[in-house]
Amino acid sequence: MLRAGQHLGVYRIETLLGRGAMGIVYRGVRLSDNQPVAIKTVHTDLLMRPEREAILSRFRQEAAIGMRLRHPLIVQIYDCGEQDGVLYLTMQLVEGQELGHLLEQQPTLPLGMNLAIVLQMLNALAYAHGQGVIHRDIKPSNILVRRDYTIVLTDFGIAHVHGSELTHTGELLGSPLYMSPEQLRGEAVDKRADLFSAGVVFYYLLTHRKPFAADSLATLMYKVLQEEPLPPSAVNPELPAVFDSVLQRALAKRPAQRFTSALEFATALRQARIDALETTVVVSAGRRVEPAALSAKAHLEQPTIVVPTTEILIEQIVSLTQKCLTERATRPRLDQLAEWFDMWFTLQKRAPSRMDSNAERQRFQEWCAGEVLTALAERIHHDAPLPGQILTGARGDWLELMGLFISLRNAVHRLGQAPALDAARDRIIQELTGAVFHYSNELNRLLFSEDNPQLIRISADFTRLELLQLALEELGADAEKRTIQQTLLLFANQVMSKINMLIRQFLGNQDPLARFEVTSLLVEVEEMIVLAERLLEWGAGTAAVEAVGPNGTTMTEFLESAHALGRLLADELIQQFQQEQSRSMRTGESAFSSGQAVFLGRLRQLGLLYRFAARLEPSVQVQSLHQLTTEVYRCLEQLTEGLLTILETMDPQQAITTAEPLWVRLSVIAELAEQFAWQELQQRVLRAIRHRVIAA
Amino acid sequence: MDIQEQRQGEVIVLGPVGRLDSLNCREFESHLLSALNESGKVVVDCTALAYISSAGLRVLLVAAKQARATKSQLSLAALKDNPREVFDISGFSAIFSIHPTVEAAIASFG
Repeated sequence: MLRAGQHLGVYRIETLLGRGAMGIVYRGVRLSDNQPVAIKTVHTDLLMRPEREAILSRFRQEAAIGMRLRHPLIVQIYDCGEQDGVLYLTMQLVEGQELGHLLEQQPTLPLGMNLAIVLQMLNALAYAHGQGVIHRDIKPSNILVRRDYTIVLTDFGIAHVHGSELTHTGELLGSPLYMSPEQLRGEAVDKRADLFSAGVVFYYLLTHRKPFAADSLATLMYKVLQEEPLPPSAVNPELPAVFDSVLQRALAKRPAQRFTSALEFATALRQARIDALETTVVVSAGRRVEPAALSAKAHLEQPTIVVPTTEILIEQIVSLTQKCLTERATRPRLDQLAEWFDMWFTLQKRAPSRMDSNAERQRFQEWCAGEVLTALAERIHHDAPLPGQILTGARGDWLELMGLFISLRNAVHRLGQAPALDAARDRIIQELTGAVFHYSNELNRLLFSEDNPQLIRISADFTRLELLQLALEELGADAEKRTIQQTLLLFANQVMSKINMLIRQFLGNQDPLARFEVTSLLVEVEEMIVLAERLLEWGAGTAAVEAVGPNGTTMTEFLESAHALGRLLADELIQQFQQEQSRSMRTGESAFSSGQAVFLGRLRQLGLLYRFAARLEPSVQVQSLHQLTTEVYRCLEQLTEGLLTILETMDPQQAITTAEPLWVRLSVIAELAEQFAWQELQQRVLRAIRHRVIAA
Repeated sequence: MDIQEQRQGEVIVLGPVGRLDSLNCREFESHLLSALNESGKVVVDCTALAYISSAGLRVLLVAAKQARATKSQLSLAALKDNPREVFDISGFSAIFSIHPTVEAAIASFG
């Protein structure tokens, strides 16, 4: 990772913008004129040899094509170069976010906005196609949307230039979810492939569903090649049917049946928009129009009293508080109580000297400090998720009960003094903080009483401690919450140090016992990662514990030895596969089913470990990360090779019908390769799956 | 991962299928947070949830925090034995309202 202020060619790095599968993107400035730029980097040392050429050529392609295109809706590329093993590409800095992210945050964009996005995309494509460039990877993550909803099309890394020899038929580049059938079959593509992908994006925008989605790659491919998607108006009944025919044409299986150009597609879309205006529906999937008054009041338990009296209000408050105690405290109930309290106090201000009002107040104060407090304290104590406490019959409203308690306490304070409630609050806070401090002994026992730390148990306890923290927040005990946060950080650091120690012992002393211990630790690799993530999250923004944080010694040490864990997992996978293979040969029957869960579990763990380490990538661990990458890649490549060899030697019918466990393994490998941007490996598997689907 | 999504009135019902762990929990997280943003009343239908790891639990915790901050409502339904046990051990039973069926979870929103 590059530091702020560091120079790269004629640019200066300023801040980190994001991490992609292939590298890191920074915000920077051009030294000569302070022009802000985005700088995309790839650390060439981290590239695996088989993937290296593909990634480098993708990078060069993006630079070459990007510098050739000049259009307001296409990202402008300025420059590319290499320095100290870092390959970089500078481009226009776009203040916006990927369409994919936008859709996650705002899944229901208004219809007009969706149309505007697609029309801009088609405009950009019309220009690129006019320049002889086919994008080939149109998908939401390659469309940046600014705050004013103008878009910029990015990533021409796998684009095809008319007449160039850079791509070959048979290739399977791009994301299968958005790919046209001809692209999927590896045939030569033209601009109509982009129009198909644009159709998939449009369908997704309108319905919030992808037209072709499936559990496995094989099913997905089958659907793209064979199945007609449901008309968008059938998925989202609020949508005018006029868009159905536009999308039917955009998503036609045969290119000849699709729109012939982006312009034609855009014209059809504009006409559909005019037709749609004749209907009144103007929202897309999932958006519901509710009268404002109805939605604001819809959650209320009881009708709002228009002209309440204090007697009625108190009666309502008492009755709802009892419901919270005997049934369940919920947020709407707490909101309703808060509203009634406000109304009550407003009424009191208007008639402050009424005698009956004083009596009412006193009765209410006594009731809160008496029977309510007793019942509430008992329930809070009973359901408290303290470490080690068995929860029986918990109602799931523990935090809301804290909220109820604070709400009543505040109300009583507004009426006068509340000593009993104040003392109760102190007791609860004491109980919660005390539980955290006492956990220190339990943690030591879990860490040191046996050879291996009991990570699953510790992880569950840490979750409970986090819940106690939430409760302190609810009680407004901010100082105590901060103290607890520091303590939790120290706990997490202690556990990570123990893990590091075990790995160190294994590395320094390869005896079978040390290996066994680390292997059993690996069964809990997910817990290790969750722990490390906790360490980073809890340590963020704190300077109190130097050892933690992304560059702290504990994390550094863990990352430095992560490759050893990767190697162990990889060895186990290969070993299992070889044993299954020889058993199959010996008995003549497939022996891959019984160990499938273990195999996929290990594969997943290996993937988790790599993804976690690669996401952090602090500069000090480049060597270690490279080693881990090598281990993981070698393992996946070897497994792919082995699996494909077995499938190739089978009779085709048998390979389709009886080799399901092997195909599932390959699908998981392809998914991992896609996540890690290991294009060569992914393509290899995808080609085999495609072959199978077409043969079927 | 496969996440089934359906609407029942104003409630969004999300049904994660299979395992919820580190490899797929981000996908589920974005679905869940979007659903909370969109409707304010969400039920996670655990009928087909076979396994939930610590990373999966953390996603639910993030969602619970968001629900608290935005005054949304989040309930769980039809928890199988294995995830139920994980919920009890990690204390989640104290802070999540868990219902035997999706219908009961929806009814609890009032």
